[in-house]
Amino acid sequence: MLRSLFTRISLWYRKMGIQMVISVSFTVVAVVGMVFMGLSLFWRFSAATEQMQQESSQRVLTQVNINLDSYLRRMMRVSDAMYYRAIKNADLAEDSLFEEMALLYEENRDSLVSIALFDSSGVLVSATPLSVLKSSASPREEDWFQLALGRMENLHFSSPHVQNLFDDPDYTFRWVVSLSRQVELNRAGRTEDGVLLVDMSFSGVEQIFRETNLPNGGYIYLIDSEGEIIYHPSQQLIYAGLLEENNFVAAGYRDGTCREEFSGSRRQVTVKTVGYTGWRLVAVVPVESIVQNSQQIILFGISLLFFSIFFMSFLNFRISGHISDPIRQLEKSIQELEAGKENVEFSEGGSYEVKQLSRSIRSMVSTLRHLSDDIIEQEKQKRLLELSVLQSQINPHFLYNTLDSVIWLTEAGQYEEAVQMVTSLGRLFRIALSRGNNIIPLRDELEHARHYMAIQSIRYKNRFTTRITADPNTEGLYTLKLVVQPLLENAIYHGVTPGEEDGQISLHARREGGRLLIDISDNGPGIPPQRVEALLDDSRPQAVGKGSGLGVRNIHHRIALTFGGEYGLTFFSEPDEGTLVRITLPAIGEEEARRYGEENAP
Amino acid sequence: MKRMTRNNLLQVTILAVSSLFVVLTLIQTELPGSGQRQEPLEISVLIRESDNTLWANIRLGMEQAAQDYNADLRFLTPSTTNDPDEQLTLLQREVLQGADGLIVSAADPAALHRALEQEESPPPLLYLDSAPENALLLAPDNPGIGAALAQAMLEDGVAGRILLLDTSDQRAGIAQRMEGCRQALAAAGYASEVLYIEASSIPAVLPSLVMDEQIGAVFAFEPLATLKAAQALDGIRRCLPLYGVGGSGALAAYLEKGSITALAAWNEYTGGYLALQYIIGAAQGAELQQPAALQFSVIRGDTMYEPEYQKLLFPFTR
Repeated sequence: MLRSLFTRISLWYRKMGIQMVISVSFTVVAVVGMVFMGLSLFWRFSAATEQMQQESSQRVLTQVNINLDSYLRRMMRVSDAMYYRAIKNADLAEDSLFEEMALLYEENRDSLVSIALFDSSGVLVSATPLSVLKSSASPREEDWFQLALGRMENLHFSSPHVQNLFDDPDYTFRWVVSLSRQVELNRAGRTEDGVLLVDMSFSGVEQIFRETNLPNGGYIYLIDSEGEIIYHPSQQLIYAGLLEENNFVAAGYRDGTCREEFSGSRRQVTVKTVGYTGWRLVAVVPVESIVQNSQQIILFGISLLFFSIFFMSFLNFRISGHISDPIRQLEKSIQELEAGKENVEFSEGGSYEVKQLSRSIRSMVSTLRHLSDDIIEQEKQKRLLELSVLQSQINPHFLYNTLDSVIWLTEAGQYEEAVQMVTSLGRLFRIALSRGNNIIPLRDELEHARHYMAIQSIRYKNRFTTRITADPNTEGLYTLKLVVQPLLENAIYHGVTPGEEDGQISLHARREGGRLLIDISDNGPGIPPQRVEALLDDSRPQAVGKGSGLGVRNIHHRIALTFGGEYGLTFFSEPDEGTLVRITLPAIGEEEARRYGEENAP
Repeated sequence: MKRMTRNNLLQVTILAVSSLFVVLTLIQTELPGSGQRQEPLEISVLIRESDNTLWANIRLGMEQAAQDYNADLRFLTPSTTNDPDEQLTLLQREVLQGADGLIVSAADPAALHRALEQEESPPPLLYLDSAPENALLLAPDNPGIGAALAQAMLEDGVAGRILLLDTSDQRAGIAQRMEGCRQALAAAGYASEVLYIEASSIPAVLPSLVMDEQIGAVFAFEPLATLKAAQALDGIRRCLPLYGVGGSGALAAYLEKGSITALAAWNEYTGGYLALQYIIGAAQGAELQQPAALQFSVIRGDTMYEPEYQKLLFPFTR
C-alpha cells in the first residue's frame, strides 16, 4: 500500500515541471515546519492553560479558604469569648449568663442563629435568642453534644442540619452549622462539664461561596472530612437526587490538583483542606470547558494553517515561476532548435546560473552552426570538384580521338572531311564551354550532340546513321550540360555492331508534364539484364571497357546532385533489339536554369 | 492567457475565502449572536389555592430549573381557592399572551382540558396532582400514597372509625389517594367514613365532628386539607391522629408539634424542578412522554429531622 503510494508520488513527481517541483517542495517543507511549530505551540499553550487553570483554582481556593477561615475564626472567637469571658468567670449557682450571651449574639447576629449552654446531662443552662427547648429536643442525643464531651480538647464543627432545639413560635426551620465544645461550669464552687453550642447560620457559609466563581464553568464545594457536603452550589439538587457529586471520593484526595472522571466527564479537581475543621474545599473545572477554549484556538489555528498553505502556495507558485520561467524559455528555445528552426532567440533573464547556461548554449549553438556551415561548404566544394572531374573525364579522351581522326583525314587528303571535323570540334568545345555555365539550353545540348555525332560519323565512316529530333514544346527548356554526348558515345561503342553498316542511333527530346525526357536509342545487341541492373548501382564495380562506361554513372550522379534523386538515367534494353537510355530532367526554363546555375556555382 | 487569468482568479478567491475564515474564527466570540443566550421561554404556573404558602418548596425547585434552563416563570395564584372559572380565565389569558408552556394544579382538570382543546395551538400543559385521562401528569403514586398512610395508621394501632376528608371535588388524583387509603383500611377490617368537604370548611366542621369518641383517626389527602385539619385539631383537647399529605414547612411544624401523626411527603423541590424541566423540554419540541411518578415517604414527627427527611422537608432557601 505504502509502496504503491510512494510509486505514485514518485511518478507524479517525475512528471512535474520545475515550477511545480519548486512550488510543491517549498510548500510541503513550509507546511511541515508550520505544523510542527503549531503543534509545539499548541502543546505549550495547552499545558500553560491547564497550569493557569490550576493556579486560578488554587488562588480562588486560597481566597475562599481565607474567607472561610476568617468566618470560622469569628465563630470560634464568639465561642472563646463566651467561654473565657463569661462562663469561666460565672458561678452558675448565682450568676446568669444571659446578658453576656445576648450581647455576643447581638454583635454577631448576622452570622449566628443561636448560642446555648448545656450541662453534661443536656439540660439547658442558658440560650439566646430562643431560650425554650422543644419538648421533643434531646441535646444529649445529638452528635455535636457527644463529640464535644467525647473529645474535649477540640472545637467541633458539624455538617449542615436543620436546627431543632428551640421552640420557635414562628416555626422557622433554619439550616445551621453547629460549633460545639466542652466547657467547665462552676456551680457553687463545684466544677462540672458542659457543652457550649454556637449555631452558625448556614447562609453565612453560603455567602462566602456565593460570590466565588471559577472560570470555564467551574465551581467550588465544601465537604467535611467524611465527604459529606457542607456547601455545594447545587446542594438542593443533589439533596433532591437530581444531581450527583463525587464528594465522597474527593474526601480521599490529597491537597493539590488532580484529574477525575465522573458522570462521563473529565474534571480538573483542586483540593485544599480548611484549618481546624478538617473540612475540604474542592474546586471542580470540567476539562471540556478548558478544551473548549482550546478548540476555538484550534479552529483558528487550522484556518490560519489553511490560509498560510494557500498563501504560501500562491507565493511559491509565483516565485518558482519567476525562477523557472527563464529555464522553461531556454528549454523551449532548444526544442525549436531541435525542430530545425533558424534564428532561435535565447533569453538572457533569470538567475546568474541560468544566464550562464543560456550564454553557454547560445555559444554552443553558434559554434555548431559555424561547423555546419563549414561542412556544407566543404560538401559543396567537393561536389563541384566531382563535377569538374566528371567533365574533365570526358574532354581529353574525346579530344585525342577526334584529333587523331583529323590527322588521319588530312594525311589521306580528305581535307573537306577534316575541315568539317575540326569545325564541328570547335563548335563542340564552344558549346562545352558555354561561358562556364553548367546548365545550358536544350537546343545547345542537342547541337553539341549533332556536332559530336558528325565527328564520330566521319571517324566511323558512316557505319551508323544518326537522327536527333526534339518536340516543339521543348523549345526554351534547359538541360545539364554534356549529359547527352557520353550516352551517344556509349551508343556508338556498344550499340553499333562492329563490322556492320546499318547502325541506327536516334535521339528524341520531349516534354512530359514537368519533365524533360531525352531518349537515346540504338539498334545494337542490347545489354544483358544483369548488366543493366549493375550500370547505376554504386555498390557494384564499374564496368571497365571501351567507351564511356564510367561516364554513365557519373552522368546519373550529376543529374541527381543538380536536380535531386528523382531525376537521372533509366535503361531499357532488350537483347538483339537494342538499348534505350532515357535522361529524365526537370522541365526548367531560363530563370530556373539561372537559379540552379547559381546554386551549383563554385 | 485566459486560462492563467482563471487560475489566478481561483487562487485569489481561495485566498480571500481562507483569510475571511481566519478573521471569522478570530472574532467569532465578538460576532453578534455568539455567546448570547436565546430568548427565555415563558412558563406559567397556575395553582388552585389562593394562598401559595404550601407551594414554597415547589416554587423553589421551579425557580432553580428556570435559572438552569433559561426560562421566565410566572406563578399565578387565583383570588379564590379551587375556583375553576377563574383558573380557566387565567389560563386563557396566559395562552393569549403567548406562554410557551403551562403547569397547572387544576381545580377542575377536565374542564380546563376541554377549554384548552378549543385553542388553536395550545402550548404544552403539565398537570400536577390530578389530570384528565391521557393528559400529562406529574404526581406521586396517588393510590400508593393513600395506601401508605393507611399502613402508617395500622402500625399505630388506632382503633375506631376512620374519617376520610374528601376534598377532591373534580380532581381525580386526590380521589385516587383517598380510594387507595379506603381500600387498604377496608382490607385491614377498618370501617371508614368519607366526608365530602371543601378544604376551607374543615376548620369549622372538623372540631365538632371529632367530638365523637368513635372516630379514631382522620385522613386528609392534599396539603391544604391536611393543613386545615391540623389547624382544626390543634385547637381541640382531644388528641386525634391525623394522617395527611404534603411537605411544606407549615405542615412540618404541625408534624413536629404532633398535630399531624404522619405525612406522606415527596420532595416538592424535586417535583417543582422536574415539572419545569419537563415543560421546557416539551416547549422546545421534545417528545412527550408521561413523566415518572414522584417518590414519596411517610414521615413522622420523630423521624422528620433525620438527614434524609430534613433535605426533603426543608430545602435551602437562598
